[in-house]
Amino acid sequence: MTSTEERLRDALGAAAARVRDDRLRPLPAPETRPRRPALRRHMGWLGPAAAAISVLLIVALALTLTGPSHKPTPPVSYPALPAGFPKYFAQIAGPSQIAGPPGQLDVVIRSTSTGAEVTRAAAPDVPDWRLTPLNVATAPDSRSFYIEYRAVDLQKNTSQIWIYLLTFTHGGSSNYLEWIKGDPFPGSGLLVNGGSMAVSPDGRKLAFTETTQRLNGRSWPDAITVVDLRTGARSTWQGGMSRPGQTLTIPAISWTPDGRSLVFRAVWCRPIPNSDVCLDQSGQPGYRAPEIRSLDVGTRGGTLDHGSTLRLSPSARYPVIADAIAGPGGELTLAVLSGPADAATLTVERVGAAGKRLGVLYRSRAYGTEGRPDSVTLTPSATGTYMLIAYNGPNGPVTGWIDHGKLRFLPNKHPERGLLITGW
Amino acid sequence: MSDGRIPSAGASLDSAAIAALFRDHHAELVRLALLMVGDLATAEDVVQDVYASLHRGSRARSVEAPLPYVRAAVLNGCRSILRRRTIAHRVGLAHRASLNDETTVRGSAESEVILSEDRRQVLSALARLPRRRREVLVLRYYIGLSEAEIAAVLGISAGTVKSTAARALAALARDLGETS
Repeated sequence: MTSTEERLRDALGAAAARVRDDRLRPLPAPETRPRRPALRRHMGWLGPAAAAISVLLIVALALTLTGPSHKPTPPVSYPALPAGFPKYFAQIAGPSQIAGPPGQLDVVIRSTSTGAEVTRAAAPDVPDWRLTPLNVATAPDSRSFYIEYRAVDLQKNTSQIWIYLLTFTHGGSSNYLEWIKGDPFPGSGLLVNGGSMAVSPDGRKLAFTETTQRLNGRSWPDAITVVDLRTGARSTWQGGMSRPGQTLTIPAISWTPDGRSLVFRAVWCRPIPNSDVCLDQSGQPGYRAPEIRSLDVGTRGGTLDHGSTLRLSPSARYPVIADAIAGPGGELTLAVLSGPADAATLTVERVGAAGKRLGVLYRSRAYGTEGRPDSVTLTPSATGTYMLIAYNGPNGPVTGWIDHGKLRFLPNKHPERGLLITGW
Repeated sequence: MSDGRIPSAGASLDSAAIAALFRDHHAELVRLALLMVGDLATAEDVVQDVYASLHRGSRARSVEAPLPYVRAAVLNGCRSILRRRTIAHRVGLAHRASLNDETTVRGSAESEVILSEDRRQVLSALARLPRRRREVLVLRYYIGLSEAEIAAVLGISAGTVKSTAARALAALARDLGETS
């Protein structure tokens, strides 16, 4: 062996030794359901042909038995959905929703037209780690979903945030979880209200809320991180908005249609120790007095006060802003609660950049939960065309999309009805 | 080189086989990718992409030798990365990561000890070689493959492997100022 060969072997070995087995990023956990054995290629026409013949036979048999004058019973039908309507919605569900141990939650993707389960992704099974899904955000293609997991290291009893991309093929019979670029994110406990996550309209960035502190036994989301999904580069905004004796929390974030800014709700309240309840200045629970702020993601991190600008604060017109979504042209879509707590009215309306009211999209005088705003969630579709709203009504959870002033319910004849829809 | 528990010739590369293969060879594949692309995060991405794309296949593949097949897939992934970097370099978005860049690996103090100046020179000279020559040298002198095995991974003849390796070594020696 020549000197060059020896030096080369030594250098390659030394460079490769920097990869340590125990520090490798875990591989994604693809989830697949057993598929039917595929027919041999030249026999592939048999399946469709047999199906077609079966259908013809059944139709012929039905006509023979009923006769031409008998009107057939109309089949179960679902309302036709408009073009461009999201095809799927996501829920976090599983055995532990009822009585199981923590860490057994799945992400379930269902059809928006029938409610049928399209695919179900169990949390990745990583030795010595327990993963629990926290949030799901829908990509612009409306058929792939980013899932934020809280990953607990069972050996060290510490936690991280792991984010995977869920895609599925073959009508959902196979699905795959792929790790997004970059290292895990720091985590410190289960976020109160689960936090929030959103994909930018161009699909290139992912924003989510994080926590920088544990307070009174709970972790309150008080920071925003944006990840560039192509490069893994990340920017974080935190701090700079504290108020004496109060805790800042950010219950919800959403992207502006141009993808340059995030709109978020900032709430200051006093957490009750070891509970998810936060009291506002009047001593009432819930996030009644948020500020709606806009964060320019071009600032590439820093403090929240310098990176963001105030868009809206509570007023006589908007006493309780339950949620806010950015629209094109700088307007906001607000979910506002008004009236007495035991008979609150929920109004979804559009407000211009200058604060001018542009119109009411939906109004309900049947809002439950004693007028607390923390059950209201507005979720725009990936194209921004349709708006999903979820809230607690007097008779239980209500989930539907707003269609010309009316609420049209998504199909709810499935086992997970009543659970929050976390993306669509 | 043994394929360990990997099925032998003509095996079906189904999900279980893919999982077993990556469980046994994950680190080796990441190291191979690291030596080609120069930074650990990208190397891990490449291997993860290969892993996901193999799972994504519509039906189980029947491959003669799974491990060389996966190594070839990793090298293909590295080529895509390097091609993108070349384009980025042309438009002024040069990628700075290299095997000598301490920011590209975790544990820089540890790396500082491992990588001496001599090794840095060798790795820099290796990085300046054309892509095919670099691949042949890494497969031969890091993974320790025979000429026939390298030929199988790269899809070229054993003779081409031999001549490419000889030219690559000669170019490396010249670059390092060695006489032989």
